Amino acid sequence: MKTCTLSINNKQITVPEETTILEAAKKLNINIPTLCYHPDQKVKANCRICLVHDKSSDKFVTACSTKVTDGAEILTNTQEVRDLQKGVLELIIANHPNDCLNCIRSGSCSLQDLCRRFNINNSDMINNIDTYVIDNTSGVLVRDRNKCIKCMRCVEVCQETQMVGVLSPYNRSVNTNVGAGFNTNLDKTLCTFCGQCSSVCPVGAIYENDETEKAWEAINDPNKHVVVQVAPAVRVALGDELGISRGEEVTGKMITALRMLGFDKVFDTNFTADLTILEEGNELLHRIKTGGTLPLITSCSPGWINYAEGFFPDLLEHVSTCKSPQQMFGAVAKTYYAKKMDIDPAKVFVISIMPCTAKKFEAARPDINSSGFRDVDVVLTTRELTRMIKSAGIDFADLEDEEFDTLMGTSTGAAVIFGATGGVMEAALRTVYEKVTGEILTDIDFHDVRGFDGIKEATVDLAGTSVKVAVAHGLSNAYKLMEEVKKGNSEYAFIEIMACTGGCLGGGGQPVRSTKLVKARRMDSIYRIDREMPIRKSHENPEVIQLYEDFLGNPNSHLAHELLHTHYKKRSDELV
Amino acid sequence: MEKLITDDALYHKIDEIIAMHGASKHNLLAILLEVQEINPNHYISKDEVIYISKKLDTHVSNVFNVMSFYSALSDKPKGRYVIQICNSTCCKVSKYEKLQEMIEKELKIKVGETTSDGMFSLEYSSCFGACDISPAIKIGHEVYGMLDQLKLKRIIESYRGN
Amino acid sequence: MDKSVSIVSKNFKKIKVDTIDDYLEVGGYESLKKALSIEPSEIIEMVKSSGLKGRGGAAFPTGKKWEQASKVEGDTYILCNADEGEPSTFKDRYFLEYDPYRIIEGMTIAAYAVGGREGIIYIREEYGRIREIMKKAIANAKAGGYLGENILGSNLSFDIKVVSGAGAFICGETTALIESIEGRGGRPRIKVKRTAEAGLFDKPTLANNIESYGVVTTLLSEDAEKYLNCGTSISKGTKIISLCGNVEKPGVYEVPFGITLREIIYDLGGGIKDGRHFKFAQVGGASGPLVPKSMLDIKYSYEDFKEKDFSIGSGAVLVADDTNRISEFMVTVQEFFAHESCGKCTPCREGNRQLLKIAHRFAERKGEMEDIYKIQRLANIMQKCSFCGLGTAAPTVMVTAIKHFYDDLKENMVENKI
Repeated sequence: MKTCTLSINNKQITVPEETTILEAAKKLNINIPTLCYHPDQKVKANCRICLVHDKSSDKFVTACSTKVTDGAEILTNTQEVRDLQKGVLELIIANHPNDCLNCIRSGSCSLQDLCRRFNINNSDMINNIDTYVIDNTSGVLVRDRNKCIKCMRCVEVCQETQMVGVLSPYNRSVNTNVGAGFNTNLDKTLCTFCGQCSSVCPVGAIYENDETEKAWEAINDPNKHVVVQVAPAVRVALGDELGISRGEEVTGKMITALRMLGFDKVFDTNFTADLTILEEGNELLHRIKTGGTLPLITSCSPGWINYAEGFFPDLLEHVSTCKSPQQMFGAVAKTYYAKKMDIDPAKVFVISIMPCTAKKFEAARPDINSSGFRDVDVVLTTRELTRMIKSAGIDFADLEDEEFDTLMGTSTGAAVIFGATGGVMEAALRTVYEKVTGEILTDIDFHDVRGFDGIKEATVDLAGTSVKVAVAHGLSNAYKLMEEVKKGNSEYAFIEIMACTGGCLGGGGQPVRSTKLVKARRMDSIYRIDREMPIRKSHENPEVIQLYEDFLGNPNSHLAHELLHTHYKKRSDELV
Repeated sequence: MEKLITDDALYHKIDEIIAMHGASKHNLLAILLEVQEINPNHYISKDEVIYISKKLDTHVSNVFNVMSFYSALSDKPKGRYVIQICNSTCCKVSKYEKLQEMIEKELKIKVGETTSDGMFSLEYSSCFGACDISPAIKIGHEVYGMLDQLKLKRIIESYRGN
Repeated sequence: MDKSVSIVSKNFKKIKVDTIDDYLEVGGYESLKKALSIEPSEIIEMVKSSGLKGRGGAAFPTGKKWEQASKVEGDTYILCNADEGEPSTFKDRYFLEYDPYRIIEGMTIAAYAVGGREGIIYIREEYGRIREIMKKAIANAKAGGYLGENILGSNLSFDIKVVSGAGAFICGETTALIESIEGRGGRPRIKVKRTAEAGLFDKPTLANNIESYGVVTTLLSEDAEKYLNCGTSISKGTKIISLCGNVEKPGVYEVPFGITLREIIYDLGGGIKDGRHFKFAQVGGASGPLVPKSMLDIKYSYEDFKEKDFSIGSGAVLVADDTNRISEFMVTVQEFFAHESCGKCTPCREGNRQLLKIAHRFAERKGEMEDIYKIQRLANIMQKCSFCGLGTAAPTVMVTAIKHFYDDLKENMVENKI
């Protein structure tokens, strides 16, 4: 491996040839300012704020895109460099609304951070603030083009990582914008609402539709019995912006905080994750036995469902009819739970805390109310819960741990791994294997389906039959698998698809600035929780067993089918 | 004037253009230019864009990206004849403003507008390389310079006549 | 005495181009024949020693570019940049219209020298009628065996396609041009690898301005010595210029390097028309500097221009008389850049917007001292931080206005209120 020796701010360093100046500087603990740069994306070099001076060639170059050369003398902090960087920053601000007090990203905004770094209060540039209409037509994601700094991170994630292709730059010069063709509002596009754009946006140009006021209203309404469910991936991310190091598990504190916020019951979506495994495992075995449509594809990722309905509408019969754990929870809460607690179901108000923006879309689907009421009333992302906790003045980091409430609060290791890509598959295999073979599975870790590879496969021996399964995360990988299904040459019996890279732990509703490094930490935490759980297989969950015994009967019983299953349909042709 | 969405002949022609360019995404610019050319109002409608994106297996946002980037392409209808006045450096020193005045007087519209009969649109353009006869105007593929009021009138009338 | 020459431009308006016959009669394709009889490396040496620099404006040494391209494995795309979007420039138009075969021949020589099979001429959309002329010329060349398989019985197989622009000045920048050919918006690319290694469709690519190919054909012809005898010791040969504005005889001229600006404007151009007086010239197109009367005796050469912080650029020479206001001219130039900026990078997109506002202030006679500093600061940022040459060049007029026409700007300032 060839190396280069160069000096940065008069400090020598030797690095591999292909290292960029930005990366080399980081090794010397120097953080050159950046905006459009994202460690998990292609280098764009369009914001121009990472300019540094290469004294040896007397050129000013962008550190993010320039590779080191032998003998280079890089200066990152001279007055001249700082003046140029400040100038670029002022140019951006001249076109940026002065909205920090109101902005949802205040405190987590890369532009704001840079302004503090360069001591910018005002710029002597002439203000040219756009007055575009804010698009909140979808009720899920909000686009504020006035704040866009044209970094194009969202374009890369939408076009390449997700292959949904709704966001793209258009026009030229100062009219450059990012949006759907003809600047169509989001609700009239094939947007899957995966929210990855909101996750990578450095500023407040695209963000989740904040519904915390609805949550407060419900909590403060004496006529409502407000029940909260929390997804697995939230408990390894909530601490990110509450003083805990990123990726650490905070389940106990999370439960305490939720109680302090005033929820009447604090339950665990993992409970219905286990339920989903029983229903879906049953569905898989049924299809295998009766020659039903295979591969069966999981259905708990609404970003994936939106993608399937929009881009592969002819293959919807492959998708499991099981609702997602979020939706199953709502249906069960407003029937089983309400009955058990003798509460009028009309008064039960279900709020879910999700790492996902698409869950807002899912909860609002018109046909997802088989309990007689909307399964889930309000969906809050991890980010919104963070804001609620801060707003209530709770010192999160110092909280004691508490436990989930009973009846719908017990779960297994199989449930918690739903938060990672490959988790649903592994959970299903743990149950299906035992159901089919009648044997106890001793080595229950299916490592083949874990990790960050875009597509993972495994072959499982089920009582003599070799069954191939696959796991994809990120919609561009879903595309690859679906193309095989479309052509009829998919070799898999069961496929798990998650819309977001890393699975739900990398969801569009998670704290911003979640790089791959952070996601890896979350993944480690999730598998550690699994290892330490007393029960690790879904079918051994005593509360789920009780649910079937007392209420549902058997998987896919008439009642189970009515409450826990749904159907899909092609999205409108009008959407662009 | 909006195009009929169900204009089969139009879509047949678009199919031909796409086929001639191998239905390749790389030829998107050439395809868009030719599709615009078959429209007497020098633009490409949203429906056509959606159709083209489906045929080329690309996203509508990408087709719109390309269309909106280039000055020669338009997503809004224009007059039958688009008169472009150069307002760049050479035509500036040759006083394009006087030429603009003459045209505005002749057509009774201002730059940025279209005549009420839909015949002429008037717009500015960046330099199109006719500096040796500046100030110059361009109507479609034809370039005219060294104009006085009379010559201009005759030119416009010749277009009206068509 | 005619201060212009007729070497590279010798066929302009002199031959018919609807067939290849006239071109052959005046010695056409002798250069290609010579090229095919010598080694590619020899041709590259000839181009290098001629000192030929990119004629589109960037002035990168052509020979060096060819050498880089020849070292890359695999077929190289031969791109001809005929986007000619620089305001006040129309000399490439003449090549397309009056001497297309020279260009085809030059590209074919390039294909032989660096190893290429496919050529593309990117012609701006606004030259619609002229595109057809080039297309016809290519068809004629092919019919005559000068393009296609085994050209003139050699191993060289080369064909050329014409691609149209769509009204974007930025597409004159090589990577933006490539993006355009690939079916995308013309936003310049980061050069991860040199264009020679990975350009069009990620393949080796050689991109030159159309005039550069024209000169190459001359370098291999019997006119080579005549060409090389012109010019200065550093700037050898001639330049095709487009002279325009308030002069008696605007047009395309071929001048030996070393001629003075005064000679160009007064001897070739016939001086200022309508009895008016010279106020300023702009050389190199809208991206170029303003030249005051006091500097008219500057020699038109790369080295003399560099000394004064000027640039030859595209070869445009725009002349403005005393009816023109510097401040209004600044508005015109900045409006052009604000319109043509691709919008990708902050300094150019936002910087041009700022410069335009300031230019308007001067034009409305509301300029302030602050604005002078602002212009200089913005210019510094744009020159050092822009993604591509458009942003770097955009402040040039305003910066040279401050340098050479400060009094004019002062006249357009608000009076100090103390």
